Amino acid sequence: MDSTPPRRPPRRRWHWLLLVVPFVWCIAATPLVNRVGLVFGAWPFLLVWATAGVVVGTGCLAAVYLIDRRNGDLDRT
Amino acid sequence: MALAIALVITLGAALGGGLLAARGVRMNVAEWSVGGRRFGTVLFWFLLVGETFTTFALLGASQGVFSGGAPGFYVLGTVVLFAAVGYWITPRIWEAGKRHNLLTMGDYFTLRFASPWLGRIMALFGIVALLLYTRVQLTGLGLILGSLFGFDVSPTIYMISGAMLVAVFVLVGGIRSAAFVAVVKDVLLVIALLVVALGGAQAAGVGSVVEVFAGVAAKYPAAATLPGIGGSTSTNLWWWMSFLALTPATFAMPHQFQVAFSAKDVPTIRRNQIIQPLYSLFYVAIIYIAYAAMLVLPRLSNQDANQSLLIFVHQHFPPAVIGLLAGAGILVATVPTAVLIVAATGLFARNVLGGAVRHWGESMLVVRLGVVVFTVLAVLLSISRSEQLVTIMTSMYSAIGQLAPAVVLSLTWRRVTAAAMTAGIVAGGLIVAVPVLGHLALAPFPLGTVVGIPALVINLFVVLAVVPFSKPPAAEAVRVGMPDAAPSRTTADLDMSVRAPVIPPG
Repeated sequence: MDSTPPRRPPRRRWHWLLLVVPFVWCIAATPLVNRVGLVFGAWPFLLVWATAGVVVGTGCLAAVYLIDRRNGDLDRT
Repeated sequence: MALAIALVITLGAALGGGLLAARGVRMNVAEWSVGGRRFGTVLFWFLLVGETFTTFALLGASQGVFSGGAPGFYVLGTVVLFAAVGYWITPRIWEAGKRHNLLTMGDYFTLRFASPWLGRIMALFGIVALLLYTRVQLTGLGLILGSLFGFDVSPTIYMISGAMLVAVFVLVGGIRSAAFVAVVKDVLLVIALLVVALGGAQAAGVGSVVEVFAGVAAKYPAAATLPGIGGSTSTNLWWWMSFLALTPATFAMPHQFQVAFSAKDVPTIRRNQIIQPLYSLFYVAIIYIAYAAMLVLPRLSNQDANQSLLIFVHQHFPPAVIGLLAGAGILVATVPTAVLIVAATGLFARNVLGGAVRHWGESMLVVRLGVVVFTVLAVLLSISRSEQLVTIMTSMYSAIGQLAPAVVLSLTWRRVTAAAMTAGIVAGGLIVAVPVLGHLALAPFPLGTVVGIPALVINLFVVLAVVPFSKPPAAEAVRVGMPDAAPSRTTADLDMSVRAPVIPPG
């Protein structure tokens, strides 16, 4: 039963680097973000930034998902 | 009035969900503990959300903002970071489960290292962590109902009734019940929070959302940035960064395996990693409500600040809203507790007992007894004494985080061994659990760093140091975690299901 054809090396998933974006946004960027304080009057910039982080992070996940789907890689673990 | 609404909501959801879940399904252990691996996007989503948004959302999350302002904003980062890691790791755990009929985290480690003793140690450690987590939920339930209703009854009554409710619907339908009840829970929670948020400005005595923020900015200028109001090193930048860096480590909680196994396929899991973080935007509503509460409530001790959101609602909203939130609150505590009990019972039946007498791991009778025992244990643990929720959560995050390297390495490094991982977990666990060692390990790190970080570093070093001296696992064991690790499959594929004794139904 060992007649499986020699496997091609699987395609590199460089777009998975997008998954690092949430870490940079929510963690690494904080020292800079924390310097700002309030924006537009009374809005804490850290809150605005963290909320935007959820949206941006979701966008990154969605992009990775869509690219994986296009490549037929959605089931690949 | 409030009590009546809450009761109708809870009992309706629990009974309806429990019965619906069990309808037309023949219960066996696989059905009970991972829903027969058939959950599609919707049910899987609710189950995951049910696990992510626990009593912590109503208590700890608002406490962080109410007490300190900016430090509490960290909650917004947790889910998206978890999802970014989960996109890669959850499908791999799921795949191992699918191929080898795994039902628990203990099953996974048993097969991956061909080592029942490792499975048993993981199971015991996991059970302790789960019980601790269950205690957080039940304690939270006591606080939620205590401050919303304001009756002069002991929180113990609430905890016991909540635990009984959990036991009933878990006994009926296992993890499927939890998923079904979670549907009601999360819809209700969002409605309740939106209603409170809409009335928030008025209750705070100002005209609009903008005025709430302006009011807080004027009253507490320090609230906008870390380390927040009355800031200390425990809420500074380093705390923020190290704490968030640790959040993805919660995927090593045993019940995460349970939840992962329940999914129908990999795309279902991946779709969910996108939707999960979007749902976490509702933390914005909690943060906003906490801001409104800051304007009208006096400063509370950290202990009482856990209830700030609830006190605010109790004092400033009509009974109907209180009842709605209380109903949601009960479900917010009971759904996660249900999954935790399912996971703890599964670990106990399959990996602790099942290691000794194998068919016990497949017996519904053992499972049902396990549910009763763990529910009682959880209640006893909860009524023993009460601490501040966030503190418990943080120390647990750190302790359970010590399992994370084991999970990741088992999926990526074929040479890693059971002995090395155990040594690493013990080293890391000691640093987290023993304060003296923790202080020592933290010495080279900036003030504020969460102890889990140095513990992880040492954990990894210990693993690397022990690996060369321990025997590598067999190739077919490695393939449980790394299917591509060897060129072709052997005939002896590993499998966790029991073939020999068939237990008659009933």
